[in-house]
Amino acid sequence: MRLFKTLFKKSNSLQSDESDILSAILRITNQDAHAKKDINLLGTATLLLNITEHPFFTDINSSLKELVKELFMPTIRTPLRGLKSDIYKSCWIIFENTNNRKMVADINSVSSYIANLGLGNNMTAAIFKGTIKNRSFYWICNYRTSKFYPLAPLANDMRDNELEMEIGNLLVSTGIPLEPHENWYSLSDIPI
Amino acid sequence: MTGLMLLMAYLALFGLLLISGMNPIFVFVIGIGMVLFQYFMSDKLVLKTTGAKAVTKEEQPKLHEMVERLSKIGGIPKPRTVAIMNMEAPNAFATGRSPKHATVAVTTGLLSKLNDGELEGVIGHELAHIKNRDVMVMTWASLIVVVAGFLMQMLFWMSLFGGFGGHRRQGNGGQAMAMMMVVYIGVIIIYFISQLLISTLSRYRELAADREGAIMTGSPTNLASALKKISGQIAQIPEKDLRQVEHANAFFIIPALQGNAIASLMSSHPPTEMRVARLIEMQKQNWHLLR
Repeated sequence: MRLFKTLFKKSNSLQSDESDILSAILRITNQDAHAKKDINLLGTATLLLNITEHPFFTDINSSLKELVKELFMPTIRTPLRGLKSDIYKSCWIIFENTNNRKMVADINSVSSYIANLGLGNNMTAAIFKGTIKNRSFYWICNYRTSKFYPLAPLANDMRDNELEMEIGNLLVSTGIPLEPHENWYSLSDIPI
Repeated sequence: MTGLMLLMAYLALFGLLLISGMNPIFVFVIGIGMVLFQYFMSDKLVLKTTGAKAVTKEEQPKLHEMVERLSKIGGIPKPRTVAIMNMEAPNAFATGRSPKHATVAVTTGLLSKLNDGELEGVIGHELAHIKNRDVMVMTWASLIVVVAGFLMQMLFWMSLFGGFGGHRRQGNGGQAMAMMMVVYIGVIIIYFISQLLISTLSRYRELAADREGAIMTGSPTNLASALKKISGQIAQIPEKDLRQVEHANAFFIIPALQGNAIASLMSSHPPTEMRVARLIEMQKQNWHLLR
């Protein structure tokens, strides 16, 4: 799946520590001494889907239960919750796991499952919650482009663009593919 | 390569002057005079034209301290003048014929929009220009443009007033005129080629100053972040929701920002994207080990 490819490039294994992009993510989240920044992921992520007439979306919670059953519990180590949003006819699947590595693997498993249902184009983005210098931000993986960008929301639908630029520089310096800043679209009502 | 091409342009211009019967030494002496004036007066001229005002250590202690500290790291004397331009647009420049006679100026917009790290990045870049003696290099490199420009104007006025030889060389009037036309066209071509070469050289010097400045401050990403702010990239971050764009099916037709190719060839600065990418690459490559 796109997220997996984006994060792990050609590797299908979680063992390739230094060569994949996940290790880059982990390097900066583990407070790399040279980065001098403290990005932390908070063990929460969400997968954003746009809703269509497909039965999967009729009762998203039942669909997720089915998904967990199909993928077998050992594969899914993450509690999943479905959440619908009416404004944009979209829904969110929420992942919670303090182990970021496992959480990424779980998002990939769920993404693959959904893609196998023929709903690959319904997946918009995976969103991770993080902090930098004790300020919250989201780390968005755009499934259309397989690239990442930061989103630092403030009150009243405002955004901290300067912080986003700072995070963007940090992301790209670790080799993570960064979305061009003209495509750093906002996302409102993120449920994590 | 650029230097070699500049040398060829000089030789071509020299040849054209010989063909036209003009004294190349005389023309170049005039050009050198103009360049020397520019070289020695550059700091005063730039301060006057930009309206930058020198500020004392008491007025701007943080800025002075930053310039002083980075100058020490860079191994150059602190520039003689630190100045501020009352201008909303964030920008900065360095000028002066030598490190001792240098001026560093920043706009009020730069001071208000950048954080301390980013400001350091910009000051480091400007001090790198001073350290690399870019004013001297660029002033002397542009001698050919000054000379070719001077000749272009002279030949233009000569053509208007019949000075292309028609009167004095009665028997050979047509031939002389044709030859002068060739010289005129040749000078115009050399002028534009030289402009391109000077712009290329300037872009190299900018990239070198980025690198040197980043080494001075110890943080390439600070300069990268400042460049993004200065170039107005923050203003390009969209406000729309990702889903809104996706539903409108417009996501894939947003064109990447593409500069005009000719404009970028003539530009004295490399594209911001390229500068930012190089600085980030520097950060990635454990560049700090070089310090």
